[in-house]
Amino acid sequence: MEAPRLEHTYLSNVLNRRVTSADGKILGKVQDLVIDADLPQPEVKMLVFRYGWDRKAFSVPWESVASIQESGITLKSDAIPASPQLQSLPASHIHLKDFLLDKQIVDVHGAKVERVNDLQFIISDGRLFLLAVDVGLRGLLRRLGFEDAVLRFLLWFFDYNLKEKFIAWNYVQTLSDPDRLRLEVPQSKLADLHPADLADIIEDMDVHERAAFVESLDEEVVADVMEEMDPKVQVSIIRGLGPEKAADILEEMSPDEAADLIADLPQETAADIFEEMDDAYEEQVKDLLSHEEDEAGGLMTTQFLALPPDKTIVDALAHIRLHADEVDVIYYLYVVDAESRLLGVTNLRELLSHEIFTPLERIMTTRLITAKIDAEAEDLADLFAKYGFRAVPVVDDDNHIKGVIRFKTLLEILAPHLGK
Amino acid sequence: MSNTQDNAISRPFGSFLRSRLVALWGILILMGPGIITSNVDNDAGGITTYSLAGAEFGLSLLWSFIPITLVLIVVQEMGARMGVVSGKGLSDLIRERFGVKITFYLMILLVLTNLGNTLAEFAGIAASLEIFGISRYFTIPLSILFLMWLPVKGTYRSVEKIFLTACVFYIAYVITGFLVKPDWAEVIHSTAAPTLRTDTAFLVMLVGLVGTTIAPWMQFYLQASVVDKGLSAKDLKAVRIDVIVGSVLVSIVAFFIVLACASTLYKAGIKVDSAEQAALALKPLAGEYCSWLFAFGLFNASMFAAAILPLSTAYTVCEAFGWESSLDKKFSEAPQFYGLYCFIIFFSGLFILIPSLPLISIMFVSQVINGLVLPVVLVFMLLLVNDPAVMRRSTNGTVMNIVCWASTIGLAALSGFTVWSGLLALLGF
Repeated sequence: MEAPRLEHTYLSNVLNRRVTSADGKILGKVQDLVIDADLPQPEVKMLVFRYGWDRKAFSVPWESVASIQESGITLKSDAIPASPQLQSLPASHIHLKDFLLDKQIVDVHGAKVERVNDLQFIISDGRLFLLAVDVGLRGLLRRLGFEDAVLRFLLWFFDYNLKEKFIAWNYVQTLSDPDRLRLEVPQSKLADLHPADLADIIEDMDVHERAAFVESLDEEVVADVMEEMDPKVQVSIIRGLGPEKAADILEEMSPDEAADLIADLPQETAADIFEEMDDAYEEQVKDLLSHEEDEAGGLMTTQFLALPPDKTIVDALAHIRLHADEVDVIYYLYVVDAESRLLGVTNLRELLSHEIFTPLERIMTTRLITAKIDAEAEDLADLFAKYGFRAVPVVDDDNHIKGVIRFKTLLEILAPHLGK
Repeated sequence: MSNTQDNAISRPFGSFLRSRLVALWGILILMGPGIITSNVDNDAGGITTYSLAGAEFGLSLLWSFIPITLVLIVVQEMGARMGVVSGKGLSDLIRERFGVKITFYLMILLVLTNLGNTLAEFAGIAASLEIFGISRYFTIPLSILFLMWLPVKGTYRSVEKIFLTACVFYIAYVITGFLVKPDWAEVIHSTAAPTLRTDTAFLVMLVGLVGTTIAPWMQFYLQASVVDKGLSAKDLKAVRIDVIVGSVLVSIVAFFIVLACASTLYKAGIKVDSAEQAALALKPLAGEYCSWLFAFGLFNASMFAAAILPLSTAYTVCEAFGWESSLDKKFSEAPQFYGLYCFIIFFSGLFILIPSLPLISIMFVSQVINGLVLPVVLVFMLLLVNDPAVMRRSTNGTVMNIVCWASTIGLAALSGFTVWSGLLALLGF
């Protein structure tokens, strides 16, 4: 037996090719290919073609295909074309033209949403394997029938070789089918992406894809992703969810981010969400909401670490370990009296570099830089610029600590004014 | 808890006032897409057509704004609904349902149309400022710089705020309409009792009015802005109100332009053939302020549209081909988007500066392409809006379909008529 010949082809080359029977009778033109997407290397399982004025559809299993040539596809003599029964196909079988061509997909590797211009196959021994998705200009030109002409022109005129832009099939997440999306996302590499990348991807999806995608993710992940997202998209996602689910997600977010989001929601939606929310958390968020959005009170988070002065480093480290998951500022530990008046501050570096039974009052800094609760964002920025802190505590007139402003929060406010 | 009765977020009074203002702003934001789209629609070409309609035919075309408004509402509602339900832009949907070839040629047509329209906007900017005595060789380069700076450096939100504020200036026309003291009894009569003449000039003008009010780019722009706002099926009602308010507003402004020109120029028997001539002719008849108001309105309209049209074109094309398209991205991240935007502005802006340009013919050719593309776009919209795969349960009802197809066929017939009569005119018959 001769060695299998390896050859590439594209969906655009196969579509509309003539289909003939073994005895040379014209049966129609290729309409679509069906692959089994669950195979590690997805293989074309079925050929759909149409014939005549009424464009009646027939399908044959790919085993019935005798040969693929430029001139057309010839079926074996025992092939029996049947009307395609869509319902009877297993869920893993997808129609390439219907579900993929011209649609949006996620390039999991590059963390981007792309549009499918063409699909690349490898032909091996008469079988067709889906290799990659073409998202480049060449795919577009190939579809339009200008690929050769444009390539030659570019090479001749600019000495420029237009490169292919493929995404290997393993890195492709389809979006067209919400049910598939729900099933696939938890196991796909998408769930491992950085929240900021996920946020970019979600921003590029349409509302239905977003809804299915968000539903398929873990609430904690959604909360992380939300914090990286454009406020407009945040609002649209939260409004698309039920109040219960929305409340769960908001509770996973840091209170300052959650408060900003809630402030952008319509009143009724916000009220519904508060109904479902944990009471303690609700109070925190409402407290933050009572401050102006661009003042210290509106920017601060209430999730920080605070301990009395007589506690030791051992207590402090235990306290940090216990609350590490929920606090927003972990580097600083604030030392407060029984009425939560701010006495001093210490940080992880100090905690780690002193003997473990030292009480906090011995290592804390009492020369405090604080912000008043109504300080403006610009003044806060000056504070951060001058002292280079990661976070600044916010106090009221009696020096009670109310919250902590993170550098990150301030950066989000100021970034748009930094220019590009 | 003491506060159980009041579920709303409790705030002190100052914040309460602020939250009211925020809510009002929220409404303004939500009411954005339809109103902005409609107001851009009153662009240089529109104002020219309305002025000529008033100057040549007096009040006799005023009635046409009633059916025009209705068709405008129907068409825009369809686009907005599609955006809300599918969450996708029009070019996106066309690409997904009809494939890359159809999309490609449609996009070429659309870019050509919008290039022609932008050219007309720059002509409007030049002409309106020349009424104030400033040369176009000074104003056009400045405008190009301004339009470059607007999206490339500003963020999307500030751009949109500028545009929203600009909408308020359309009141200039309504004021002009009142300042010229029309005969109100006659106005009401000619609006309520339609006069239909069958001579070609009258019909061409009627077609012009329809054509300038319902343009292909609007459908893409409106749907894209609805999607971009992240509006969902819950907002459908608000979106519909927005579309209706926008469509009515555009017609009111147009109505007053026709009215102003009819009560002055037509009465005095003055023939004009451009909006700037109309503005100048208003001076002796209605006073300098009317003339200035008119010129200012023309400037604002042209500038507004000159910013939106290239933006809309760039969005639409990039969306269709899957290229990065967002004002929040940098130039290097979205080269096709900004490239197309800059090309359209530079090309049309610099084109206007060529001395002794046959502007009227250019505007006419762009109107013809407009007229040809519109029915095509409408047919695509109707096919999409009736496709359950796209619209789920929000496809058109029977009545809506009858109205829509009738409007489309009517518009196609009107466009066909414009193109035909225009060709005859160009060939010198």
